[in-house]
Amino acid sequence: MNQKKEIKGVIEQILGSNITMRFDGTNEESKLKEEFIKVITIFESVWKRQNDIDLTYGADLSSYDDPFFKVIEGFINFCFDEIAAEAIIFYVYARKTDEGEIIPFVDSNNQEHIFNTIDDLWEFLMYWAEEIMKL
Amino acid sequence: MAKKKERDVLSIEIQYDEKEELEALIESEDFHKLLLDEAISTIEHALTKNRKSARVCYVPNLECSVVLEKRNFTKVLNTAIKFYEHQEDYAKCAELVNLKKEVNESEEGNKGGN
Repeated sequence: MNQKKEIKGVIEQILGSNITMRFDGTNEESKLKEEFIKVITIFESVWKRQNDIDLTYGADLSSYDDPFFKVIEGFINFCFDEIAAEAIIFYVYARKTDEGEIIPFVDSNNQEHIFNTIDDLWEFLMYWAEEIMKL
Repeated sequence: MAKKKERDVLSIEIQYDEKEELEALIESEDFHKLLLDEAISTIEHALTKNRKSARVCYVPNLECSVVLEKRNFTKVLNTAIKFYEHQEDYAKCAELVNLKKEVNESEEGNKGGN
């Protein structure tokens, strides 16, 4: 509490004005979700970039990019359960057809899940974590 | 549904053990410049969006945002003008004077409108 007051004082002194310190904290799960969304967004954009370069310029960079993707996939497999890892990799590489149609992901219980956004993928991972706990 | 793209908020972690370290921060010209520049940019953004306050930065270790009320925009711009005068950056001062005019006009407009 004291640190907050001291830091507020420093900022006010520098800006030459009163300020408000507004609490904008988030809980651990939303922080984790935010980080996850950031990482998957980058992963997806790198994958898309490789495909776009191939489609636009006919330059196939897959042999250059593949080791990077293998590292990413390796970490995903290392950090998640088999189905959860499959879902993440499916989300980035295979959820859309060339025409942009969304293909459902099928889990090991034969249940279909549609991932329109990373939020949907996150919801599935939360659901799947609960399913694993039941085993 | 598409989400509105908000401007990225600067995140500044301020960690210290002794109060002297914090005082050193007050002496730092670079830190002054960083905060003032960010404040200027958020004031501009707040004016464009017709907001009543500006979120200058986020301090993650306190989980707090530094929020500046519109009635204090002019005070901050005066501080920034003095800072850039000291730096002898008169072009920046002129820019800030114009921005101050915009803030005043916007305040007068609000008074008239309400």
